[in-house]
Amino acid sequence: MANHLHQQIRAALVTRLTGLTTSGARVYANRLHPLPDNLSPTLLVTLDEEKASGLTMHQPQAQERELALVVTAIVKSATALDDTLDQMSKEVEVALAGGITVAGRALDVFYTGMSFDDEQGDQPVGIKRMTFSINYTAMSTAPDVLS
Amino acid sequence: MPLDAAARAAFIDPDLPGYVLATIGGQDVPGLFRHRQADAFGLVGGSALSLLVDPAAAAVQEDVVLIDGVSYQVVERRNADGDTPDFTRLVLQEV
Repeated sequence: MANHLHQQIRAALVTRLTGLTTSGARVYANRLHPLPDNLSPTLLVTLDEEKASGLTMHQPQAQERELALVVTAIVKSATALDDTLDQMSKEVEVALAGGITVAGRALDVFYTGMSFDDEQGDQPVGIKRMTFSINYTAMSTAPDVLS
Repeated sequence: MPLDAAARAAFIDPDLPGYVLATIGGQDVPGLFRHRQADAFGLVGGSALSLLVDPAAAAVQEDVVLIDGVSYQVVERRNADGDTPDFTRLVLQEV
């Protein structure tokens, strides 16, 4: 059995977002411990929530799934904090508008909004959370295979 | 009863932990430098920096403070700060 589609999608997102101009290779999924003090612009990818709707009545059930994910841009800088975050947001939105590839199939990724926050410390830290959604179908008995 | 100048000077004493002789606007300003860990959003490692000084110290927001050869910028001046009402705390950020 392959990895759960969530894992496959998360990996595809990281692949798509790696190498962008501002964040470069600094793209992390499932990072729990704090980023280092000498942070350079970084992206975090998390899959936050999913809702499934049955397309058929009985098991095994075909399901339409709507996955909500968040790409968080993080910058620590005394200058141009907002501008850098906006630049990262532009790069992320453009990259994901091109979709991702999972198990050889193309999945569209749709931008659904963003929130911003900043905090003062030894240097200001700003974060911009961009939310996206991905729709796909899978069987209830095979959450590792796109239908 | 507020502390007088002599009492405040004793509070910021060279024998105390964190004592520094900062330079602000070309003037030497004694103070107690606090550098404690403070993560931002639980995501980013960092520090909360501040300098406790006599209220007579002439330092305002955006002033540069030199401490042990490192430059900081005043982001906030807190007069009569919390648990140290007779002193001023300068919240700093690295530049």
